[in-house]
Amino acid sequence: MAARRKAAARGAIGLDRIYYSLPRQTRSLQQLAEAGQLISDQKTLKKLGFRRAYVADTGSWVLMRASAAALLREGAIDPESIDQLFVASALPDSRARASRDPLRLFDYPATRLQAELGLCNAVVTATHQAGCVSLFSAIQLARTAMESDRRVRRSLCVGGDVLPSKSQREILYNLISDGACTVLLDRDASVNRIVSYAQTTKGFFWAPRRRRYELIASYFSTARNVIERALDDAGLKSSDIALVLPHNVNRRSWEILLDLAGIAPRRLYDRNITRKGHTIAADPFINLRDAVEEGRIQRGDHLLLFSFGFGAHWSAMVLEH
Amino acid sequence: MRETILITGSSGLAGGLLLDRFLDLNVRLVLTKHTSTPKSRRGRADMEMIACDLTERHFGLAQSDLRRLASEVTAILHCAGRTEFSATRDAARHANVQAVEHLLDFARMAPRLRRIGILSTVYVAGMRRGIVSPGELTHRAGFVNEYERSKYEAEQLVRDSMRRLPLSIYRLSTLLCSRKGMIPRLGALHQALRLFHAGLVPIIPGEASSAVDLITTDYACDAIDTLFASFEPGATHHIAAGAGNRIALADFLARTGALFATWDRRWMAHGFETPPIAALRTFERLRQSVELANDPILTEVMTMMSRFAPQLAYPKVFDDESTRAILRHQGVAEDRLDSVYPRFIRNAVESRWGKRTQGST
Repeated sequence: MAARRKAAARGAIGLDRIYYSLPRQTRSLQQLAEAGQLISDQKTLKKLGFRRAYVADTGSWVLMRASAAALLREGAIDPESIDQLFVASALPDSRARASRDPLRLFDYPATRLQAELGLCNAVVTATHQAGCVSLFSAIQLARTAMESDRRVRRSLCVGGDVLPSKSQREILYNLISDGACTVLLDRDASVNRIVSYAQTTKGFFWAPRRRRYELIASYFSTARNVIERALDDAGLKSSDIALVLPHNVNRRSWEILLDLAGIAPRRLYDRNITRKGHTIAADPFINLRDAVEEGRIQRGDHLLLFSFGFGAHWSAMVLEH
Repeated sequence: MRETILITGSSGLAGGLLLDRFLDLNVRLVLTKHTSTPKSRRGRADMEMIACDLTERHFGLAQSDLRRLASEVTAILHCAGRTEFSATRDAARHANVQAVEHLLDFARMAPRLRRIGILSTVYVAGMRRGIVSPGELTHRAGFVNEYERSKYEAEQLVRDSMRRLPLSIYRLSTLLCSRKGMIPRLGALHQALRLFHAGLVPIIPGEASSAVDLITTDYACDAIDTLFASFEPGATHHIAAGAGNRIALADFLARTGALFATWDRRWMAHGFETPPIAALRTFERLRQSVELANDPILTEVMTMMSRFAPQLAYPKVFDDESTRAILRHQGVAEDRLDSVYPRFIRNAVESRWGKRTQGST
C-alpha cells in the first residue's frame, strides 16, 4: 500500500513498452572456444549457466534502430509524440575515431536515430560510461526529467552494445551477447510503474582489470545494499517482490546475492542466462518483456530489476506491474 | 629448594609471553627447544635450553638426559603446539596429540612433579552451539579445522590422566592483541581483518548474533600466571572474553568498518563496505564458485577464511564465570574490548598490519 501511495505521489511514470533486438546468429560455447574467444573452459561456463552468445555482424546502431523502430510499430506509437530520446551505450563507438577527418568524430548515432525514426519533437541525450547500467541510467534520467517537467509525456530510451568482432566473449566469468533494447516511458503508463530507483557508483573501480579482485569482493555487499535501499524507498520488504529481473550474470552469483537479499531463488527469472547470455545493458528489460509474454507476471506484482556496470555502478529498480 | 619449571613452546606466542613472566621469578627454568628453532636471545644465566623433539618418544633425548630432567622438574607448563588452521590432520595430530602423549609419559617418570599446566583452546568445542562449560569436552558436533580436533584429542588424553597426574587445562579464546593494542603476531584473525581492510572479503559466514570472543595477550598471561600459581589439579579453565565483553558478529563487523573509515581515509573513498553475513551454505557456494572460476587471489582469501570463519555459524558462549571468580579474587580483570579494539585497529592500520613499527596508541 505504501509503495502504491509513493508511486501515485510521483505520478504513474512507467515502462509502458519494451522491444529488443538480438543478432540473427548465435555462437555456442564450443564455437567460441575454437575461435579463442573464451577465457575459462566450456565446462566452467556451462556450470555457471551459459550455453550460447548472440554475435552481431553489424554495429550496435543497427540493432538499436531495429528495436526502436519495432517498438514504435508494434505499439502504433506516433513518433512525433516522443518528447525525449535517450540513447545509452556501454561501449565507445570506435568507428568514427578511425577517420582522419575530425568532423567525423561528431557523427552522432543518437541524433541519427532521432532523424531516421522521425522523432522530430524529441530532445536527444546520449549516456555512456555506465557499463551494464547504461540503460538504467538513461531511464532514470528520463524519469527525472519527466518528473520535473510535466510537459514531457513520453521518453524513448534506447540501449545497445556490440563487442568488436574478434573480441573475447567472456568478461569476469560471464558470457557476453550483443543486443539492443528500447523502452518507452509514459507519464500515464498502464503497466510497470516505476516505484523506486537506487544506484551506487564507486569510482575507485574505474579500472576494472586493475581492481578486479576488490571489485568482485565488493560486488555482493554493495549489490545487497542497493537492493535494500530500493526496497526501502519503495516501502517494501524482500518478501514483497514477485519476480527478480536480473542482469544475466552467472547463475551462481545470483544464488548468493538472493540469499543475502533474503529473496527466494524461485523468484529469479533466470531462463535467459542460458538462452541469451549477458547483453550488457539490456538484460533486465529483455527479461521483463519475456517474463510478461510467458505469463510469469500478474497485475499488481512488484518486480525488482537489477544490474551492475563497470565504472562501477550498481542499480536496482522496483516496478509495479 | 627452588622449583624447576619446564616450559615447552617458549618460542611460540603464548609460551614466549609467559616465559617473560617467569624470568623474574626465583625459579630454575628449563626450556625445550626444537632442533629447528633458532636459539632465543632472552634468558638468564641459570636457564637451561634443551634441544629435543616433543613429538618423539622420550622427546628424542638420551635416556640419561631424560632421567636427569625427570628427577629435577617440579612443574611443567606446556605451551608447545602447532596452531595453524591450515595444518593437515596428520600434522596437527603429530604436533598436538603426540607431544601431549609423550609429555604425559614423561610426567609419570617425574617424582617431584607437583603441577602440569596444559594450554588448550576454547575451540575444542568445535561446531557445538550454545553454552560451553569448562567441565565439558566430549561431543560429536565435529570441528571446523584439524587444529581444533587435535587439541580436543590432546585434552582427552589429559583428562584420562587427571586421576594420576596433577594436571590443569587452560583453554584460551582468540588472542587479539596486547592491552595497548599491539599485534603480537599475525594470526588467522588478523589476516582476515587485514583482508577486510583491503576490501577483499566478499562475505562472512555466520549469524548476526554469533558472539565474537576476543582476549588480550596480557589478560591471557595474567590469567595463566595466576591460575598456575594457585594451581588446582583436575581443573579446566576458560580464559575468554566474559559476558560483558563479547560482541555480536554484526556489531563487530560494523564497528570494524567504522574504525577503518576513521583511521584510513582512503577506506571510505575506495567504497569498501562491511562484508555481509551469510549462511554457511552461501559462503561455501561462493568459495566453490571462485575455485571453479580459477580466481587465484579470491580462492586464497576464501580458502583461508574457510579454515576458521565457519565457527561463526555455530553460535556459542564460553562459560568462564568460575575462572573469572578465581581471577577476580586475585585482582586479575579482563581488558575491556571496547577500549582495546579501537586501539588495535588504529595500530594495525597505521603500522600497515605490522609492516611498520607499531606505536603505542
